[in-house]
Amino acid sequence: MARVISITSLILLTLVQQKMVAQACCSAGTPLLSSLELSTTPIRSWQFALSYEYNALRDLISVTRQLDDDSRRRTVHSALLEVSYGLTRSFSLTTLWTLIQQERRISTPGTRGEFVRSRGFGDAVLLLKYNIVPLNIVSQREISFGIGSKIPLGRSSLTSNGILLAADMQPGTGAWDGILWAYASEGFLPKLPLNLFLTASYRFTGANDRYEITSQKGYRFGNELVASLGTGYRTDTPFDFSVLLRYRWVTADRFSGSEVPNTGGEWIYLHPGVNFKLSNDFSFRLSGQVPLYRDLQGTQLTTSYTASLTLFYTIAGSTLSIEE
Amino acid sequence: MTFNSLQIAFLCFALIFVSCQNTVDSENTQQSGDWLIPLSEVYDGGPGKDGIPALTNPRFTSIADATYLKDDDLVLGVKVGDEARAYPHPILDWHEIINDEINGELLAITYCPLTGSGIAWDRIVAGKTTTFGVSGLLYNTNLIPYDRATNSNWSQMRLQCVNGPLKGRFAALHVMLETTWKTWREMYPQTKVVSSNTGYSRPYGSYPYGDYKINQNRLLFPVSGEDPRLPRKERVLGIVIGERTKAYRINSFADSIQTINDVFNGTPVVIVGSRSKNFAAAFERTFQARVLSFSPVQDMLPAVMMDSDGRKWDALGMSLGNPEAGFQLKALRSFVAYWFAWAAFYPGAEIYSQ
Repeated sequence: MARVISITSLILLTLVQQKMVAQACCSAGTPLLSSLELSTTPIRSWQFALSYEYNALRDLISVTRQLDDDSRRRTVHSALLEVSYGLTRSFSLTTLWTLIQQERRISTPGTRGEFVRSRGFGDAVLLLKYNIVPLNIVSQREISFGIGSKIPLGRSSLTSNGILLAADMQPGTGAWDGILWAYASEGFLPKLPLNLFLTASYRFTGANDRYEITSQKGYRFGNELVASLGTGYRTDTPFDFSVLLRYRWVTADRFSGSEVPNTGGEWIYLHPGVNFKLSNDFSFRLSGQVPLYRDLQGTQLTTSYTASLTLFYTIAGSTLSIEE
Repeated sequence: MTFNSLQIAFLCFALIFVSCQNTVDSENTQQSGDWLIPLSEVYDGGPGKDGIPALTNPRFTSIADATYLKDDDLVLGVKVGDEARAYPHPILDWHEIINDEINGELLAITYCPLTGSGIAWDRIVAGKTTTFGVSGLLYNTNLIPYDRATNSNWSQMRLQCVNGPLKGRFAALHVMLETTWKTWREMYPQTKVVSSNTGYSRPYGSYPYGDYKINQNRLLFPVSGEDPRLPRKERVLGIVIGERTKAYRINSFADSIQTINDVFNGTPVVIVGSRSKNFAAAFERTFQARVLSFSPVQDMLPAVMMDSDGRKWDALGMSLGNPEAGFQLKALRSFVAYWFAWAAFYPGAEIYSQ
């Protein structure tokens, strides 16, 4: 019996690993938690996801039209550590810690150009997840919900030569946000070695105290919805594959109660990935993201592509407890 | 990789997290050193230095070929000798500065979309020829140009260098008129106008700031003082004489051309303007050591006013007709801007009332 439970747990964890993606997306360049796709964690298990993401913002888009301009480049390097622990059979707790490096390079012809780089702790996320339909080897179906908050641990008041950097060049947002999260998946083993999954997260943003010198203070990034529909394909080799479509909708930022032009919009991304299993506990994921559709408010410099590398590591608590 | 080494990798990463310092590095950004304005009220506007690309010696086109312009689009107009040139807001909204040369005159048309202020500066500063670029910084939500010869930062509406080697120096202004494209080309039918073929890919037909021009509540960056006497976005012609300033509401002019013979801070001045033609300009009334009074001239553009000696003058303060063509009234330090910005830069400004 113990062996059955152990094997079952490992299979479930392997399935779960296929779906683990933690990503800091950008709104106006500031990394915000826009996508949580980490499934719930089995009881007394630990899951770790350590990621590096390279986000190249090169495309100058006016509403839907790409402008022929490469004079301004933004790059966001993000390192993310996601830790999840199964509190009970139904509840798990996830935290996300981020390091952010923002870069802005201007190379307008006829000028000397400019380069600015800021680096520091980004904001963190705390999320409590509830597993309504637990994943099991028979049904291969899972439905979970979560609620949490983005905690403004990152600095949002960095200066260069004494001048406050733009909000989208700060590692943090300076605001508490509320987060709702949902996840559903369906597996088709043994007929088909794949699963389908759907995730959605919504972020209610709060205002920070930027520009506190006047009564016009308070900058609020736009509320954000991220929904992904994807599939994971398992092979008999160490390699598994996944692909998903990600929809992202962001409302305009607001300052002193009014909308900030050239912020907010809709994006659809294609997000392919490949997993490499080192063992039942460890795996790597290499993934990327390219835009398929963009409908932005005004003119914005936005993501051309992202690339990320993630290391997953699991400590299976159920297995250990049975063997004890 | 073994189990332990992976554990160590995670541990190392955790330590990196804990030890991470907030840092900022930059190359060729802003001048360090003192500022004449409160540094805490200078903001990075977002695009970065030269992220909004100024134009230098742009292409010009004829009225007939300027199909991207509508009659009521605002333009900044300059005339040097017989050469009249128009610098349209739809171009300046995206570039903010145009460095140009007209018949040997070097000037920089500076325009801030957030404060609605357009001013023509001389490009010879401290004896050196320069061009101006967009620093990416804002003070009172107003453009801070920088001169590329010294990397000094200037406050556009303060008309002064506020940081860098030229700190404290005031800008030398060229006479310029802000009006509609229709009015400008009626005044100067031979005018040239900046072509939309600027070398940059921008949607010149669309305004980049939404309803900012008309939404009285919307500000994108803080301003240090608010003056509720007028709506924030009302356009005024402000004049500066000595330490005092006065604002003339463009919408308060008559639809027909109107002149205001005024005395401000001891200086006799004439303000000429029209609500329907959407312009206002200010000059000293002293000409050839005599104080003149001016009356409006209707339906004879470019003539907009006539002095008490019978000379006609255009809206750029140049005399018209033989034998006295080409005289220039002394222009005041004046420009059009949104009221909130004028009030922030020049607190306590008088407002002209009939």
